This record gives sequence, structure tokens and C-alpha cells, in this order.
Amino acid sequence: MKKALLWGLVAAVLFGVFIYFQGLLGAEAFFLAAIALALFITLGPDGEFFKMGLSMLAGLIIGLAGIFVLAIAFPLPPYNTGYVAVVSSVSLFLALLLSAVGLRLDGLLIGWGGLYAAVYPLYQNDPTVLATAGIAAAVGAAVSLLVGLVLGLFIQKMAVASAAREGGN
Amino acid sequence: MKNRCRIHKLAAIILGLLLVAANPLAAFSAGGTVSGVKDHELVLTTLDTDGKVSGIQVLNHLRISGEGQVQVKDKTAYRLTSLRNLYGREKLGVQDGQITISTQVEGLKDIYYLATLDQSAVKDIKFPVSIDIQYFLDGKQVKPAELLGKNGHLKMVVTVENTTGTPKVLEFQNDKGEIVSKEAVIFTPYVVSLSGWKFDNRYFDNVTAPGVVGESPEGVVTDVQGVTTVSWTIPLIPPSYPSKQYAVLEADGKNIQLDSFDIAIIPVLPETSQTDSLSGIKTAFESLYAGFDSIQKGVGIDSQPDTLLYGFDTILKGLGNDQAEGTVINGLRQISSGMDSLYDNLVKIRMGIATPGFNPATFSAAQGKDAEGKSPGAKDAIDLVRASVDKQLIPAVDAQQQLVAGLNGVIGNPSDAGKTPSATTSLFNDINTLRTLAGSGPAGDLISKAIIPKLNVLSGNLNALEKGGKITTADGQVDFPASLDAVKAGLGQVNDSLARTSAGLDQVVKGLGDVKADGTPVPVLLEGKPGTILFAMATIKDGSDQLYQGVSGQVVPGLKKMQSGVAQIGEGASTAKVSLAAGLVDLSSADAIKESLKANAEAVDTFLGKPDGAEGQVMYVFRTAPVKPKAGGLTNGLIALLVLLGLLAAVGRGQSTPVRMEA
Repeated sequence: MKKALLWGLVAAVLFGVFIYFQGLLGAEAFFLAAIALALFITLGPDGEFFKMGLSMLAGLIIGLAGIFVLAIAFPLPPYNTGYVAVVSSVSLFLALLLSAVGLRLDGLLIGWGGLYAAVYPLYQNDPTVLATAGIAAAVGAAVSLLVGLVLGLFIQKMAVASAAREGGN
Repeated sequence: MKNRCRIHKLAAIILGLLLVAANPLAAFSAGGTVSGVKDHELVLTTLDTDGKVSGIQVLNHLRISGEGQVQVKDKTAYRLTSLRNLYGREKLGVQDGQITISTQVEGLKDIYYLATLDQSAVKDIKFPVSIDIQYFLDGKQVKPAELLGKNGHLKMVVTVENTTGTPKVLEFQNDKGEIVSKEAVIFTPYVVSLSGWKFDNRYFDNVTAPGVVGESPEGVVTDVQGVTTVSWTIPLIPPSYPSKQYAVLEADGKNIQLDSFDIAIIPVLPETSQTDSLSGIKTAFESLYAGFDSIQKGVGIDSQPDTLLYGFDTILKGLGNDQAEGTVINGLRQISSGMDSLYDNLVKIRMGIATPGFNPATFSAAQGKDAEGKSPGAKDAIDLVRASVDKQLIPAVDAQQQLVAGLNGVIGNPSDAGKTPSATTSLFNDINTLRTLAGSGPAGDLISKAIIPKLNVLSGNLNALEKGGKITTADGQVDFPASLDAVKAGLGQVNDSLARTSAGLDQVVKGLGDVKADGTPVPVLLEGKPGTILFAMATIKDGSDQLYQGVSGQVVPGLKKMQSGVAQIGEGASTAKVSLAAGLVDLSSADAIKESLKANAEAVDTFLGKPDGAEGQVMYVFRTAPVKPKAGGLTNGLIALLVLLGLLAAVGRGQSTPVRMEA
């Protein structure tokens, strides 16, 4: 029990450190790490964390491409919900296609959603900001998601190692 | 079969997506009508970190009134590099300087498009208001990019100048109802708004925006939630406001970072709630003009009677100068000269009457001077004569009388006889004795006829000499007035007269007064006034000299200066009148200027161009480049991303079954 508490404390400190340095990493949507942790801790100690990471990045890139297409090629907000719907549909379709070729659909979608959580408010408020802040926000979102994923993996590994020691005893 | 099924599913998805997008892409129909177009332009000029124009975009808002499918042709005066419909799907085409917009209108239709000007056109564009932003750090001018991360006193000076002024002849009615023409430089009125400039309190302290009357408006500074916001409003509306003004911001900076600032320029003649004081000013100007007119008329000119300058000229001519006969100064000079001469002569008279310090006791008649070499004056001479009469002449006459009396005694009377002749008997006694002794005969006849008659004559003449009467001469008896008694009496009278003369001269000398060795009078005051003629003359002489010097050396120059000063007052009044007249014309022209300004403001309705007949409106915005550090988060984030991926690749390769779309 004490070791579980200790590992939990270590994980919590790491999470706090990440949040503390989120500005340095450009991860203003740091809360995505918690979402990613919550979603992917269920993968288990032998889960495909790496593939999940790649899938999230792919989903994030799909989302980023979509938001840039929206900003550049289509009418701008606020009266453009139809175009947002079309682009989102196409994005989902691409995610589905990519899942068909081996990437994880849950990772693709959380990546896409994470990107929109970080960037869509910028698009709504001032699309021109995307030109300078879009990529940075996307990278920050990716870092947040991967941190959550890595934390999940870390916790899983610690939990398994701890359980193995207790079982051994 | 499985693949076909997948293809069908994919086609269904694509079809569904197309249906979603179908509405915005609906086709238009042609043949509508346009009842009106409003063209509102926002010209956004971006400045780079050196403060130079880096690009110009025009955000154009077309509001089309009408019905049906219409086509609107907007104009573009510049070559464009891009044209984008921001909020709609209408196609925008550019050809031959025209932007063609086809759209479906149902009452009103708003089209927003963003046009980016070609860089080759940007450099040649002259804005109606020039903008110059200067940055100073600790008093030294720097480029904005050089401010990044620095500490020190930041000063920003934003100079704006309305460059639209053009000469124009205005015609308007003055207060007398006359049509007046006036040439004036009329500007297009612009209001510059530097609004919402934000300064993070983490980087700035003591933010101020001072103003200078007539040059620079003061900014409004607010400090809310860690951000200091500064705003200025600068009306570039001559003649009410200067065409060139500047706004100043000062702050103490630490690790300086600057946001992007917007400078909006709007062609507008704003109506304000300020109370109209022009009518009161105009009345005051008219009163002032009347006052200056009276002053100018009162001052007048040299040749105009009943004016100050004429009076001064007359006075100065009357005062004249040394050489001008019949003038005051010439007269004063003559009086002064005459007084000098009179004084000198009086001194001579005084010295001629009585020589100060003359000692009669040591007077030498041979030398005519006393022991100290002083010659006697008239009074001194009289005193000398008196002394001579008293001490010499009168005793001499007395002696002569004694002598004559003695002689008369020796001669005796013709009746003397009978005494024996001796040394004490008279000649007549002796002759009578001798005649008696000679008897008749020649001797007796000689005595009787020759000697005795002669003795009688001698005795009579001696009596006459002594006491007056008649003397016997060859021609007979004549009056003899110069008897010794008469002489003595005359001498006594002379002496008395000389004494009175001397006393009179004493009074004259007293009246004239004493003179010092240097020839100046001894000051004598009686009841505060000069007590002698010479002292009074000296005072008068000095007074006349001073009067002459004062009139010629001070009064005349003073009067000339007064004349010059009055002339300047006249000129000043004339100048003031001209200025006031111009001011009154200006006041009368205020309405005409206002109308011209309003017309100019309304004439500025487009920058890029507008559809024919459209109602236009334009506003300019200059946007500065932010001075901020590059986003280091991107690089750090990419590195973190790679690290995390590497970590996952190293220890996160698991065995779980992926969730994937099943075909």
C-alpha cells in the first residue's frame, strides 16, 4: 500500500511538473494530458501505447489540416457551421480510413478532438491568428496528449511491477 | 463481395457529406435588380518591426439591396495579389480593374471580401494621413525590434499629419451681408484614434501619456487587472486643430515586450456637444475692432490735426533746436547764454564796486593797488577819496583859511592909523602913518594914489578868498564863488555825498552779495530763498542751463520717444485691426469652412474603389508589429514530442488488439 502511494505520488509530481512547464512547451491545453491519461490507462501494461501515440498524432494532423482548410478555403465564422460540419465529416472519414490501415481509431479521434480543443477557439475568435499560433497550439496539444499517454504507461508499469513484487512475496 | 460492400459504404459516406455541403453551394439564378449598394472599406496597413509598411489589405463590406440574382462590379484602383470572400461562397472575379460579384439577394445581402494589395503598389501609396512612430529607450532612438527584452525608460512618439490641405477660395456672407471671398487651405478632416494600446504591468510601470497644448493631446490611461490601457483621440481638423500632432507615451520598462497597436484614421467631421461661443467671440472681436479703430484715429498722423501725433509734431517743432530761430530750445539757449553773460557782468560790477579783501591802509596810489595787489573798487576808491577829503583836503582848506586870515590881519583895514608901525601893526596902519609922514607931495601922492588902492584891492580879494563875495580884477569886480569857506563847505558836502555813496554802494554790494575767490557767489539764503543778487543769478543761471539742457537733452528726446511710442501704438492698433478684421472674416467664414470640411469628409468614400452609384465609407487602420519573443514553446514542444515518442517507442510497444474499422 505504501509503495502504491509512493508511485501515485511520483506520478502526481510528474503531472504537476508538466503543468508547471506547460508554458515552456507551448502546451496551453495541458488538461488534455488528463483526458489522455484517463482514456489510455485502460490499455493495460502491455497496451499499444506507441501506436496510440502515432494514432493521436495522425488524428491531430487530420484536425490541423481541416482547420487550416476551413480558415483558408471556406467562409469564416460565425455563419459557416455547414462548412465546419463538412470538414469534420471528412476528417472523421479520413480517421476511419486510417484506422482501416492499422492506426487506432480511439487515438485518431482523441488526437483530432485534442487539436480542436486547442485550436478551434482561435479559429472562432480570429482565424488570422492561426497563421502564427496554429502550429504551436497543435504541437502543445500533441505534447499534452503524449504526456498523458506516457503517464498512463508509467503508472501501468509501476502498478504491474508493484503487484509482481507483492505477488512474489 | 467484401470489397464491393466497402466501396458502397464509402460512396454512401461521401454522398452524405455532399448532401451536408449542398446548401451553401446552391446554384444562383440570374436576372435580379439592385436598388442600392453600400461599400464600406477598412484599409489595414501592417507595419514591420522597423516601422515600415509591410503590407496593405482592404476589408471590403458590400451591402447590396435588391432582389434576385444580381451582379455587382466593384472597382479596384490597385493591383491585387489575393481576393477572398470571407463569409460567403460567392465567386469573386477580377478583370480590368473591376471585381465582379455575383450573388443572390433577398432584400439585403452582405458581402465581405479581403483584398491584398500587390507589394509593387504598396510602396507608391500615399495616405491622407502620414504616420511616423518613433521609439526611444533611455532617450536614444531605437528600432522597435531593438526594444525586446530591454530595461529602461521607454518613450513612444506617434506623429500624425493630415496631408490633404489644398488652397480653396471660399465665398460667404460677412456680418454685413456682403459676399466675401477668402482663400483658405481646406483639409479633409480626419480623426486619428489610438485606442486600446495595452501595456502589461509585468513589463511596464509608470505609464503616462502627457499632452502639450496646441501640439499633442493627452492620452487616457487606465490600469485594470494588470494591464494598463492607453487611448488617444487626435482630431486633425485645421483650423480648429493643428494638421500635425503627436501622441507621447512614456513608461518604465522591464524585459520589454510590446503588443501590436492599432492606429485608426477616420475621415469625419465630428459634431461635439461643445457650447457655441463663436457669437460671443465675434461680438467681442467687433468691440475690440472698434476700440482699436478709436485708438488708431486718436493716434492719427503728423499732418492730421486733433491727433496725438500731430500734437507731438507741433510740440517738437515748437521746441525746435539750437539753430532754429523762434523756437523754445533756441530761446532757452539764448536765455541761458544771456544769463551767463548777465551773471558774468554782475560779477564784474560787483568786483568793480568793491574788491573783496581790499585793504585801503596798504593802498599805494602810485601803484594803484594794495599790499596784496588788489585794485580798489568804486566803493573802495570812494572810501579812499573820503579819507583823503577828511584827512587832507579839509585840513588844507582850514590851513589856507588861517593863512588868508593871517594875511588879512597883516594887511589890516584901510582905516587903521595912528599906531606906531611895528611888526604887529597892519600894513594900512603903516601906510597911513607913512602917508601922513610923507604929506602932500609926490611921495604922498604915490602912497595915496598907487599903494593904498592896491592894498585895498588885495585886502578885498583876500576877504573874498576867505569868505566869498566880489574880487577886483583888471576888468573890474566879479563874483568869486570859490572862497575857502565855500570850498570847505563844498568839501564837507562832497564828503557827505561820498559817505552816502559809499553807504549806497555798501547796500549794492550787500545786495549783489559776496564772491568767493573762485568767482562764485557766497551762498546766502533768506527764508530758504537766495539772499543775494549774484547767488540768485547763479541759481537762475544754473536753472536756465538745466532748463535748457533738460528741454534739449531730455524733454525733446523724451517727446520723440513718446512720439515714436504713440506711432507704434498706432501701428499696433492698425495691425490689431487688420488681424481682427481677418479674425472677423475667419469667424464669418467658419460656417463656410465647416461646410467645405464636411464636403471633403463626405467625398472621401473609398480607397480601393466602389461600384458606380454606391455609397462609400472608408477607414484606415495602421497596425504595428508586436515586439515579442519568438514562440520558444514550439521548439521545446517538438523536442518534447520526439522524446515522448521515443519513450513510447522504447517501452510502449504492447500486444493489445487495435480498434479498427471492420470492412
